[in-house]
Amino acid sequence: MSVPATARKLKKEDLSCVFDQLRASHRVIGPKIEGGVIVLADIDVHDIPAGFEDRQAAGSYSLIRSDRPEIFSFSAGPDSFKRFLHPPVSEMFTFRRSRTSMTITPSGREEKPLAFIGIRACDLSAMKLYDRIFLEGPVKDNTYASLRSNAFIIAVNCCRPGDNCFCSSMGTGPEVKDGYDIVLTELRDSFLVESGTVRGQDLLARLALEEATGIDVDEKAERTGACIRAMKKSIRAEELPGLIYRNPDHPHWADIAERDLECGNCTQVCPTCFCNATYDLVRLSQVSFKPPGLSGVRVRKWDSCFSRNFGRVHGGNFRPSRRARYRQWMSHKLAYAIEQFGLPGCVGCGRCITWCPAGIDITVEAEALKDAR
Amino acid sequence: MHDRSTPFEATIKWTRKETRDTFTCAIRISNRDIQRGYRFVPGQFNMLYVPGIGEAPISMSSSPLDRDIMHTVRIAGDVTTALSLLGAGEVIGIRGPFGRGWPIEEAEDLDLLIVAGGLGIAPLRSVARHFMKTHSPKKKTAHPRRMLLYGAKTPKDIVFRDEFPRFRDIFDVFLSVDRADPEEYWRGETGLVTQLFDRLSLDPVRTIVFMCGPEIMMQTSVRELILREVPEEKIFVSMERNMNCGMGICGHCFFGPKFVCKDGPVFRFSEISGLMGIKEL
Amino acid sequence: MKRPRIGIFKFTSCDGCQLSVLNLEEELLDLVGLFQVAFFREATDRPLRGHLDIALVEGSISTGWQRSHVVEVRERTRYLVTIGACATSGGLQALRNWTSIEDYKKSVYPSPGMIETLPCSTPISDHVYVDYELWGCPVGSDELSETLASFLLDKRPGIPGYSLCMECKRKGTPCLLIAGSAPCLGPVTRAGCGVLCPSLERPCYGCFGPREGANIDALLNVFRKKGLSPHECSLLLDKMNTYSYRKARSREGRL
Ligand SMILES: Cc1cc2nc3c(=O)[nH]c(=O)nc-3n(C[C@H](O)[C@H](O)[C@H](O)COP(=O)(O)OP(=O)(O)OC[C@H]3O[C@@H](n4cnc5c(N)ncnc54)[C@H](O)[C@@H]3O)c2cc1C
Ligand code: SF4
Ligand code: SF4
Ligand code: SF4
Repeated sequence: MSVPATARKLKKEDLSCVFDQLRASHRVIGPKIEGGVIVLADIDVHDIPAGFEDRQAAGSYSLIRSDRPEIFSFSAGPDSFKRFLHPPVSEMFTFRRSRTSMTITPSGREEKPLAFIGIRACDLSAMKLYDRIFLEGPVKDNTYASLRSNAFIIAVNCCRPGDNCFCSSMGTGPEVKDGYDIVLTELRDSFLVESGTVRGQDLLARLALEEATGIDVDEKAERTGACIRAMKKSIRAEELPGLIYRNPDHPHWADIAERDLECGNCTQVCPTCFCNATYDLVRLSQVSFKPPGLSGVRVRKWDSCFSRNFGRVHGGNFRPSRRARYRQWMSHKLAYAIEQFGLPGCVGCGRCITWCPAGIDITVEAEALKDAR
Repeated sequence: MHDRSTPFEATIKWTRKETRDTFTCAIRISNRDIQRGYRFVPGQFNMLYVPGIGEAPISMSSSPLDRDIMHTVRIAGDVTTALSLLGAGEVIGIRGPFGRGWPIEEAEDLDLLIVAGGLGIAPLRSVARHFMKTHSPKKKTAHPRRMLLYGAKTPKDIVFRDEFPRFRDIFDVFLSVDRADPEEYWRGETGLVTQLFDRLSLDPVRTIVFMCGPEIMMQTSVRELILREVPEEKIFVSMERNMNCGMGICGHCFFGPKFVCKDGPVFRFSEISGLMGIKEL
Repeated sequence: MKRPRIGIFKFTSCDGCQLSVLNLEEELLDLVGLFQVAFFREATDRPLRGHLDIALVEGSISTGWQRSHVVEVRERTRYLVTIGACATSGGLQALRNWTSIEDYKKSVYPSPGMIETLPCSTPISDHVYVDYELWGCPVGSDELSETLASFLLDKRPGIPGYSLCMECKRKGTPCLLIAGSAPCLGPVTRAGCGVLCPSLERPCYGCFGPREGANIDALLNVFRKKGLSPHECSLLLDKMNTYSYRKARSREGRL
């Protein structure tokens, strides 16, 4: 196979050089083990859980040390980039009010830009959706825009699928296609590195790299191919939007509602769920009578369509039943998002399956939807 | 364009009680530059903010040609109550304008039928005032016709009651209340707004409809109009949902695949007819 | 402006929630500055007189005297707010609701005849209308502070109605139920504690009580599949919020 112009090879032990290059200018975020789970956090190269493999099933997760030689031997944990680009709790502004005046002071953002290391194809698709939501709508969101604009992205091609992954049938993975500064493919004894942007190219120029050969490029194709073949789950991505639109009263929604805990875990771990709620936080110490006035902060938190207050207005709730709330979730993921943003709302990462305490599996539930005959 | 995730200051110019639970307030944006850059179309809304309490989406009830921005508010909960307690000279925060408004231009040369229920008249008063400012009263012609159908619970709940005589300069007005107290002097219709349709003679080919009110009223009204062969494409409805950000990033206003805040609140009925009857969408 | 009058009352409880009021520390001074403390046994022995703007009520109703006293408190009060698991849900002492009180009396007291008590321990809301309920065992000082501030601002306090899982995930705490297979009540329990137990690798045992619409049986089915017996499952629920969890469970079936 022909070698892409930007492709080079990086020795495995030189991965640390990438960290060295980024550390001064960026906060480096990557995978790390915490409490028996791979989370995303500020890391250094030795924090990467090399040689660990996760066992995932619907509603269960465990880590084992395997004898695999790879550094990126594991798949996605509960966290995604969203924890950093769309923080779970963020302060939007502080306010102060008296009878005749008010001041609003937007809250400052963190200084150092973020660098993500080890982002997979599914999450890059999710990030593309986030860009549509937060940057390309009629109005852009300041919080996301400021965190996203300088984020440096080092993606990794998956060589082994997680047990709940189905990105291949969603068309979002496992091979990284775009949206990265650098993408790594782990080969037998080195990384194949490719840059996708000028920034990425600049970084590569500062590393000691070797020439890549056609054999390396073949090995990359072979490995992603093996990953696709090993993927256990799939979904009927093409048919589902139609099925969902046509069947809002399908009896299966009520069947799911019996098992559904309505806990919202699926929405919190999903890299494409973006819903959030804002409120004004005022403490007792911030109220005064003499002179009358108050101060406080406006806080934004992740919300979920499984929250009871999500659809609440004066005089009622638009989705009072659990059945309707689950339907909202699945419909949004598999049907509505395409209409809204022209991108799939589910990227097949399997997180919602693993982290659902009730073990509700979106691929299985979607399979049960059939048109009435 | 000013930043729309941070509220900016506006001063309340005056407030006026409309009904027992509804009031109108006029505000002016304090910062000159923002004020100059601020443009809205009827049917759009602002997020009104009382620091410490919260925000509420409220439609503009004034015409863009009016000097001040007016909002007509029903006291429903925390924010609307807090707003009702503020008076001239006090300040609030606003963000906006948000959403898609009424297609005024499309309505210029067609017969315009406005259907409003309850406080649903607020965003339509904006349309009415627009036509009152741009058309002289003497030009009440056979074509294009302009009609206003309005239904309220009781005569006391008619919002903008003292403005109706002026609406009549431009519009044929049809009023109805659900029930009238026998003690009250009421010589209009009683019953649901939908029965007023029988009094209209619509030319379905050249009619455009703007509608805002309780969802159930809008559903029955649309049914009546479709029976009279008004095409779905010419019926516009303004929807209401829970709203938090107003700009398409919080998810609270989902109406199926639609964001009420940015795809609406005004929708062409043909865009949402498939969603309208679905329970708990 | 006149300072609103506040009363703090106690029925059957351990005093822990009143302690949370005292634990407001610096904000306690704000409380005393912003409110007129009209009744607080823990701090003054001023008798209850006149009307109150807000009453914080701790403790469950478990004697006949309390049953009539809480009605009196309600009649004098504009806003009644219960604080803590006892007042909101009957407390640990509500465990007796599921057995015979006479047996308990005999096994604990030398002369059981002297003990005057109702057969059940019940939350305040079983007796009078409650405006807001603050859950927790004990209630959190932050939530108290926010609720009192909300009262002064005339807005609904932001008491979360969603699950503890939401708070856990926001915090990034590894899930004990899924990664540790622990019987954690998080999915059916109200958020509000700030993920106290799970961040110390202890499964949630439900001190913030069942959230609105909690699908308890579905969670217990999950625990059953993990090997817990039905008895072990119901023991999980029988703690300080036993009354509310059981009530929520019997309301099950509502989708
Ligand atoms: C596009 C659009 C345009 C609108 N235009 C107008 C307009 O022109 N004029 C107008 O008056 N209104 C308008 N509305 C409606 C208006 O936005 C609502 O009435 C307003 O948001 C109410 O806010 P609030 O803070 O006063 O009430 P909230 O405090 O939010 O609550 C309202 C009611 O909801 C219930 N509720 C809400 N949350 C909870 C909870 N957590 N627990 C229990 N109960 C709860 C309560 O019963 C409460 O009384 C519009 C809405 C939309 C979407
Ligand atoms: S699908 Fe699972 S994770 Fe999602 S709310 Fe229901 S029980 Fe919780
Ligand atoms: S719906 Fe589930 S599988 Fe799809 S992107 Fe979200 S978490 Fe991943
Ligand atoms: S509506 Fe529900 S499914 Fe859709 S993004 Fe929001 S939380 Fe996720």
